[in-house]
Amino acid sequence: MTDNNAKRRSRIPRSYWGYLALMVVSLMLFSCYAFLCKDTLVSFDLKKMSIAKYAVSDTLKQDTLKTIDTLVAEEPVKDSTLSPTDSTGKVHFLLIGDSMNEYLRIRLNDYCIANGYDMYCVIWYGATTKQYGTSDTIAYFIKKHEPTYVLLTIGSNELFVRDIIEKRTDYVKHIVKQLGRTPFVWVGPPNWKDDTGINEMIVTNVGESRYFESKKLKYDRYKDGAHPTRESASMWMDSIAVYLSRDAHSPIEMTPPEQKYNKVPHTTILQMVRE
Amino acid sequence: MNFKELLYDVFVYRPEAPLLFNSFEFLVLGILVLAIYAAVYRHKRPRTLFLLAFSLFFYYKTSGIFVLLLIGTLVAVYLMTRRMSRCEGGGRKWWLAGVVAVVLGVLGYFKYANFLGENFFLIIGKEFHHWDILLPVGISFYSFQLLSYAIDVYRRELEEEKDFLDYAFYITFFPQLVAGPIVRAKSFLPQLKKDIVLNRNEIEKGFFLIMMGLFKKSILADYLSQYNDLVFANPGAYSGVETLMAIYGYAIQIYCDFSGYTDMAIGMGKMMGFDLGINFNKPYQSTSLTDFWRRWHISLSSWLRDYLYIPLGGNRKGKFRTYLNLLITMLLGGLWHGANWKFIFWGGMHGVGLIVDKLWQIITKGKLKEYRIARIVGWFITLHFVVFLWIFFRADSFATAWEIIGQVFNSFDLAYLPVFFETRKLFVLLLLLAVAIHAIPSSKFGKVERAYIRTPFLVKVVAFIILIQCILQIKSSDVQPFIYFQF
Repeated sequence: MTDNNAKRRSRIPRSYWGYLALMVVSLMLFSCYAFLCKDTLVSFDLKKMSIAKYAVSDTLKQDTLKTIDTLVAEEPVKDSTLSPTDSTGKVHFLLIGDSMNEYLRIRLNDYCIANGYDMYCVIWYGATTKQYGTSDTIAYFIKKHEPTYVLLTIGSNELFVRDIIEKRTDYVKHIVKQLGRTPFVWVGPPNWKDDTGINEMIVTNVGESRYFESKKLKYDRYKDGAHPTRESASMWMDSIAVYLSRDAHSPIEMTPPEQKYNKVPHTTILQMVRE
Repeated sequence: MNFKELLYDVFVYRPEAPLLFNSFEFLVLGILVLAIYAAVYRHKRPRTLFLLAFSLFFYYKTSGIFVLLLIGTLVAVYLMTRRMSRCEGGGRKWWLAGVVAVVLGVLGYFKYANFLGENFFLIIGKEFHHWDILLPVGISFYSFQLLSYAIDVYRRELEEEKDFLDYAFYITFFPQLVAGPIVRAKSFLPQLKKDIVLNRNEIEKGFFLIMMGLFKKSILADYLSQYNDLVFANPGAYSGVETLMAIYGYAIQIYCDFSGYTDMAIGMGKMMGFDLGINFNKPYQSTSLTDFWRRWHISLSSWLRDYLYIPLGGNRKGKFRTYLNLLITMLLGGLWHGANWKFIFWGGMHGVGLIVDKLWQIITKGKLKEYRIARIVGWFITLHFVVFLWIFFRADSFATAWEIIGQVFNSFDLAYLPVFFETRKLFVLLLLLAVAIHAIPSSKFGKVERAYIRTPFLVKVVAFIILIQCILQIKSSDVQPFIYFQF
C-alpha cells in the first residue's frame, strides 16, 4: 500500500507532459511560420520570430539578405509624367521619417481634411539615413499603403556627422531607389546649428524641386533645443504646403485649412533597433 | 539549416544578447530542461547536479566569465561558514565578519567603486576618470542570499549545510538567481532534503504564473516603456499631460517588469516542485507607506528588516532610534538599488515617508483605518508619493527629474488630453488594462487562476500561442532586458 502511494506520488502528472508538449508544439509552429514568405493573415500583418536567420548558411545568407533588402524598386523618373494623385484626383500622402513627424503630421492632416486627401504617417524615433538606407522600411510602407505622394523627413539626427557625403550618400541613394515612381519631396532637417553637409548631400541627390530646405526657417523650439514646438511645427508645415503647391517637381493643390482639427492621423511608430 | 549558428546562439555567451526568460533561446532551453528534469527529478543527486549545472550555465549565458566570480564567492562563503559553525564566542564572530567582508568587498568593488571614487575625487577637487568595471548581473541578489545564509548559521537559526551541492544549488537556482526573489536558506534548503513531488495543481499554477509574467513583462511593461523612454529622455519636448502620462506609465511599467519577472521565476519553481515564496502583493493598493513596503519586493524588504533594521535595534531602543534605524535601513536599501545619489535620495525619502507614517499612526492611534474614506485618502496619498519618487528612480539625473516635474506643473493643459488619447490609443489601453489587473482583489485572482486550471487543454495551447504572437506584434526591436537586472 505504502509502495503504491509512493509510486503514485512520484509519477509525473499528465499536465507536466502536456505543458512540455505545448511548448514543443508552439516552438514548431512559430519556427515553421518564421520560414514562410507570407507574413499576412487575412490582410493582417503577423510578425515572425527572428529565427529564419538560422535557415541559411553563412555564405548564402549575405546574398539572401541583399535580395531581401532590395525590393527591386525602380529608379525615380527624372522627367516625370506621373500624377501625384489617384484617378479621382485624390492625394494619398505617406509622411515618413524621424521624430519631427510628431507634430508635422497633425498639421498635414489638417490639409488632408481640408483638401479631401488622406495620409498615413510613420515615425521612426532617432532614425537617420543609415537606418532607412539599410532597410526596406520605406519600400514596405509604399507597398502597404500605395501612396501617391511621399514626404520624407530624415536628417535631423545626423546634422553633425563628419564626412557625411562619403558616409551617407549610398544610403540616400537607396532611399530614393525605394521610392520608385512615387512622387516625393524630401523635407530637410530644421537645423538648430550648422550642419556638416547633410542638406547639401540630400539636395545633390534628389534635386532642388524635390527638396524643401527647412533650415531657412526660424523656429520656436522645445527645451531640448531641437524639436520645433507644436505651433512652430504647424507653421513649418504651412511653408511646406506652399512649396508643394508651387515649387515642387510634382505640384499639388494644398488649400490652407480654415481651422485646426487637431486630429492625429493613422500612424505607425517604430523604435530604434539596438546595434 | 544553419545549426552551427543556432547552437552558438543558444550555448555561447553573447554580451549583446544575454539569456532572458522572454527570449526564443530560453524557450528552446526550457523544453530541454523540462524534458531532462522529468527523467532525473526522482533521484536527489542527479537532480541537484543537473539543476546546478544548468543554473551555472544560465548564469554564464547572462554574465559570461563572471560565473567564475559567482563560484569563487560561494565556495569562499561555504568554507568560512563551515569553519564558523565549528567555533564558539569570538572566533565565530570573526568568521562571520570574514564572510561579510568577502561578500560586501566583492559587491562594493563591482558596484560601488566608481561611485566612491567619483565622490572622493569631487571632494579633493580633482578630475575622476571612471574605472572600467562591469557590473555582474544579479550580484546584489546572490550577495544578499549568501549573507542571509551565513548570518542565519551564525545566529544558530539554521544548521550549516554540509552538502556543498545542496548549498550551491540553493544560491544558484536559476529562476531566482539574477533578479530574485531573495530566497531564504531556512525555507529553501529543507525542500531539497525531501522528495520532490510534482503536483498537478502546482504545475498548472506555475504555468499560469509564467503566462501572467510574460504578459506583464513582454506586453505591458515593454510596450509602455517605449513611450516612457521617449519622455524621460527628452522631457522638454512633451506637454504636461504627456509627461504626466509617462510618469504614471513608468509606475506601471516598473511594477509589471519586476513582478512579471518574479511571476515567471516563481512559476518555473512551482513547475519543478519548488516553492520560492511571493515577492509582490498588489503594492499599489496600499493604504499607507508601511503597507506598501509589506507588498513591494517583499523578499528584499523582509531581508532589510531581518538583517539590517532589527540588528540596528529595530524599535527596541526608543522612538528616536526607531526612526533613525528606519532611515538608515531605507537609505541603504536605496543604495542597494544602484550606486547613485538619486537612489540614495529615493531610499531616504521612503525612509522619511515611513517615519511620517509611523508618527501619523501614533497621533491617530490607528483609528482612522476603520473609516473607508480615510483608507481611500491614505491610498491616494501613498500612491502619489510612491509614483512621485519613481521619477527620481527612473530619471538619468536629479536635473532631469526636476525638469520632468516642472514640465507637469508648468506646461499642463487639459486640451492635450484628447489628442494624447487619440495618438496613444494602445498605450492608454494597456495602461488601463494593467491598472485593472492590479485592481483585482486577491480572492478574485484565485478564482481567475482556478478558472484557468479548469480550462480545456486545447484552449490553453491556443492562449499560449496567442500570447507569444501578441508579444511578437508589439515588440519594438530586440527583447528588452529586465529593469532589475541592473541591481
